[in-house]
Amino acid sequence: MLIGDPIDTLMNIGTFAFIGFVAWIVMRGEPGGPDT
Amino acid sequence: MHTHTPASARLADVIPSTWSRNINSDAKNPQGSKALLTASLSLCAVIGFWGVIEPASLLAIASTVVDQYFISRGWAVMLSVTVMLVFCLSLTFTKWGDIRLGADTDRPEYSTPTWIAMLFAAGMGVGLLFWAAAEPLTHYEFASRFLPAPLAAEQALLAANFNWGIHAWAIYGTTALAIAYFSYRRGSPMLVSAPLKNLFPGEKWAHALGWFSDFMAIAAIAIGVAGSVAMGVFQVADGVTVLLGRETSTPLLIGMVFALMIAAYIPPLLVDLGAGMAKLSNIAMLLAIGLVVYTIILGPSEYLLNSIISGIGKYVSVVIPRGLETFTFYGNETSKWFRDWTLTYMVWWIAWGPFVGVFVARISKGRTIREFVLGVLIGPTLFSTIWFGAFGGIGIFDALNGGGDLLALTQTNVERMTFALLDRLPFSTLTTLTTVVAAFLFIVTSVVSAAFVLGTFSTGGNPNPSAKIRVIWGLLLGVLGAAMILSGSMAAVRTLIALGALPFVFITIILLACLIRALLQDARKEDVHADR
Repeated sequence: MLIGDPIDTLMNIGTFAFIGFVAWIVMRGEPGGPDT
Repeated sequence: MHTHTPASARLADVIPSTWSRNINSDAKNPQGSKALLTASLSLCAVIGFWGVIEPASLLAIASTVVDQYFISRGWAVMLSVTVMLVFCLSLTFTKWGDIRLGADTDRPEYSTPTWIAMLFAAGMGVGLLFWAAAEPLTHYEFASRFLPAPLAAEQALLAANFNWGIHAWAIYGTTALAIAYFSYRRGSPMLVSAPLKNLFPGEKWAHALGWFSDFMAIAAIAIGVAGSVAMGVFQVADGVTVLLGRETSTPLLIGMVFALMIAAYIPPLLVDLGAGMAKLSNIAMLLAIGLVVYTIILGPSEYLLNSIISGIGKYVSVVIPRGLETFTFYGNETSKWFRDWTLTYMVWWIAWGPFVGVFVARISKGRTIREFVLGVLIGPTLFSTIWFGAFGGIGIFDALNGGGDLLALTQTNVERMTFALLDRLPFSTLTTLTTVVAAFLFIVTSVVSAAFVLGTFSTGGNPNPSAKIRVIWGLLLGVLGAAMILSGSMAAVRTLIALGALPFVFITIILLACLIRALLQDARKEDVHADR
């Protein structure tokens, strides 16, 4: 079987969610700026 | 000393009001910082007393959490530290490299050699004394199970150089740069939470995450410094044992060294942190430089100098790919070795990040980002490669050409390695004493500055926390150190440090993201000015 450990999978998906959050911190438009 | 108005006062005229709105907001909100202080003191006290009363169960839980994390997320840690390294290096090639950490007219307070010596003493200090020959030889013992001797020796030096090398300083550099940039360019308090609160003022999530970051920074510093205390006490006690001509250090001796250390660091906590502490770490640093020069001159000089140069060559040639190497395809034994050493070290440096970061930020005011990055990344890394080239080189010389009894120590008594090595050179009583004194000084300076930084963090960025708070932190660091000593082994100490650092893996990345956002904001502002 090549199926991975579910906890391991969840933790790694969580890490990707975190990467998304970090990208959002960098990219988010300024309040009141042209990007919002 | 400069006699100008604080940079923050003048910056207030040019930065948008939203950026400076939350300056010192915590100082005006004693309720919030009191909650932070209580929460962080409680967490450290619980871990400390738990470790003293029942070290085995604390260690079992720490091991489980750390193993689960490492097994599952080695890639994320290695990717993160490589991103930090590439980020720092690429700043030096851009116009951001010209930005000064301070007002544009500020100049550095310390000469570059003194600055690098202080960086080094804060970032590595006692650990390097401890692992000088022990680490390369332990790697050599492991690698020689799979590789012929010359390759094993090369890989052993490379691993030690990597673990203590430029990636560690990229972690420190990123943390320090984020704290320094927001403090000197935007007038924020010197807190881990400052970048988030500055960029997203008034937003609840940023406030909550910032509070959590300060809280975890305190825990990471306390546990990291306590681990260093434990390691240093083992080292000093062992050195005293050697000086007394005994075989093994007794619990009584370890207890006495520990008590002496607390007695030595409490008085400096009662007075203001000044040039005295910088002087002490510089003396420790000079003693370390003396030891390495002495070893090169009195040891097999040509062999050691060759070892240093080929070690640097090998390191430079593979530094980036090695940073992304996770040893996935090498089998369980090598994966375990990778997790126990490289991965643990990277998390360890991250644990020290907030403490070293604040210290480095304080001593780097007035330098440009380019000077800062090149100094922080290259200076200490060069010293580490010379250090391991010499001490690792002499250990490998003994394994290949001598009796090889140093190699046997990696399996039986790794704590004794540095002294066993010095014992094979002339004047060993003097050099052993020097090592003991240097270790003692490194620990005392670390604890005093850590207690100061912890006091600053736990009172909402107050740069002068009261003597009472500093002493409370000093004593708590003592209790945590005792917990780590009672846990019994170096492996246990490193596991506990890794546990304290885990959340910081994320917080350091968030700091990096905040710094990038601020640099982009400021560059856009410059462009707008240029267009006008």
